[in-house]
Amino acid sequence: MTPASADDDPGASATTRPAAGDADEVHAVTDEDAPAPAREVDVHATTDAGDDLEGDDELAGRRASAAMIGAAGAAGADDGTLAQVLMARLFPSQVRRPKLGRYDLLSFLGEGGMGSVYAAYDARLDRRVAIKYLRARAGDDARGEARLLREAQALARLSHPNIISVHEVWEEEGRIHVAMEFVDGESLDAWLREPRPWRAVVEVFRQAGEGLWAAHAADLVHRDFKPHNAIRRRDGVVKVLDFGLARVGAATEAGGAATEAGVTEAAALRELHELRGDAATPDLTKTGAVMGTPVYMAPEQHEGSPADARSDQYSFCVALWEGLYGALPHPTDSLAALREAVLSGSRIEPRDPRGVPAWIQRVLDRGLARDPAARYPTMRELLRDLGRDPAIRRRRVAIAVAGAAAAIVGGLVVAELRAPAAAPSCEVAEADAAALWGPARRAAAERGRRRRRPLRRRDLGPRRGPARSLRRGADRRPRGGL
Amino acid sequence: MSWQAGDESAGAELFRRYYPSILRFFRSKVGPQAPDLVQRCFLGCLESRTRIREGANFRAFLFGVARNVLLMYFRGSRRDRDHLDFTQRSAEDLGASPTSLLAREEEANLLLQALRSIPLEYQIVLELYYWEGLNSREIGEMDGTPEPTVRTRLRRAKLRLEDRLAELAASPGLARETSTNLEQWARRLRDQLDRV
Repeated sequence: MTPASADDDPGASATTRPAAGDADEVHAVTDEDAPAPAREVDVHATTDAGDDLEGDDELAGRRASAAMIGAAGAAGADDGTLAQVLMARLFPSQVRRPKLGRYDLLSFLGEGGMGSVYAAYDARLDRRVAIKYLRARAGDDARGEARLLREAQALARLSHPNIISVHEVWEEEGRIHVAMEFVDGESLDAWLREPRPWRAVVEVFRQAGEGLWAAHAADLVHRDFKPHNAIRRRDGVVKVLDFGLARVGAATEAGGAATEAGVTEAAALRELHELRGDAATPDLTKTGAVMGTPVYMAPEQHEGSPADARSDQYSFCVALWEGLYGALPHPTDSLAALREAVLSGSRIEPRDPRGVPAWIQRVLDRGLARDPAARYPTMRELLRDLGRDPAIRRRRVAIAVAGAAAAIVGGLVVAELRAPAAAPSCEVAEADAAALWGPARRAAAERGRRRRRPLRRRDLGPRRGPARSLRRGADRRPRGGL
Repeated sequence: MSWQAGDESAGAELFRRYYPSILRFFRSKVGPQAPDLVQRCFLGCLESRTRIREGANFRAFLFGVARNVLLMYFRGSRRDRDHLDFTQRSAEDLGASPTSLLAREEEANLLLQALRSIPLEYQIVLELYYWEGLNSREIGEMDGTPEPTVRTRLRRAKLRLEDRLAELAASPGLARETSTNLEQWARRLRDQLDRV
């Protein structure tokens, strides 16, 4: 990043001007509910600045472009990005917006154990993005960085409505930068600060679970799923972020593999300490820069074994438990007590059951099994059970009856039109029905199709094989946001 | 003031001069949330700069904004926000993230812990006095407190700090060393905070 005054380049202010409106908006969003800074874009807010374990302080570890703060570099090792972003906003005629890659930095969104997040403007595509820096650490080697990049690139390939899109990943000045979709909303931990009806909680988590499942299907493990790592957009769509970043962060630790899945005592203790803090601490549970977040970690992670998709499932269930009951399933008075409970599989009965039905408790029980093999084989099965709300099922049946009637009519019409080429007709009908009903009603439509199966078989010949496989394909397709 | 008159280069100059102080102000009290509060503070200054009285001390104005931003942050979403008394509650009581290890020397670290455990208003006046070199009159300008009141507050703050140092120190010697050379340790703590 090169600090420059607008005087050097008369064109500069013109190019960046369109972003000005954005900047104000970003600010408005950020300040909306005051106490939790910038929660809409994830912040791995967290550990103490300057802690020995974490390497240098959030601000400090970064390279100093102290030039802009003044010759003396009076802010010490602060890398100056924040100061520069602020100056560009305060004194646009004096200081040009700092650039990172091809993005103009607009405002600071948050600070975390793994780096900072800035709101930025992508002039080429005329859109706002969030840029996260992953701090380089002492002891990083080329292999660690290559791996970090690889992981991040895998994230960039992942596209799913319930996962924050990663636009670009690049290295600059020895740091990894990730440009992500800018989401206007609040993190689930913020959303859950008010008690929500259990159905709303389940629906929100179901979406987050879909995101996790899509990542697992692409062989990516999150490793640090928690309410803070999911954002609920204003329109209700939930997006999970920071897949694998816990490991990316850990992998850059000097210790590498040794710290990868484990949790360092000091970091964990600090988090627990923060946990006990009262409501003034906006983010109750924070990611240590080294690993996951103790209270959401699966037993195998506490034991130092590598996390897999089933560990994510466990974390998901801890978070869901917290969302439903307003309390965590394990004691948090001390790391020892937490570990003990997690490793022995004992849980605190919710004091405020909030009318959460038994069938949901059963899903949680299985997902929180001590033995990974006793959990659901994948998130898919968990989500299936989580979607089995008897009340909704009753409603769906009603919709399905109507759906079935429409689908039959549709199917017959298409069959008529396509009479000579009878074979594909059914698929066309199915596709039409799906388009007609949209993803939300797919289940209903499927039930409808199931109902009419005898009719189709009689009329159009045995179509069972292809129709079934198409359905299976549809099942696996990621669901839409809502 | 020329910044008020729209002179951005004068504003930029002021910013450069005081940015480190403001960063330090928040760092010693909220740790990781500091950058966000620094941003709010400067944007707040931009909005309210036209209200600076002629002849007023810019530093006092700036720290006044910083103090408001800090108190607002601590009030946050708390249910008891209307009853929060910052002459009673410390940064630590208010749930600010711990900042242990920010300072590398034992005495400096002890001082930081002690500062964070005395009432917030005391921490603020002590830091402004020792770190920023503001005098009682200037500190008073921040929120319109009369100078004698500020002096009393400073005296009480110092006594409270010494008590806390004695309570927190691992050894009486360490507490004594830190209290008797408070000014020197305050300076060293400041330098360490700046360097992190």
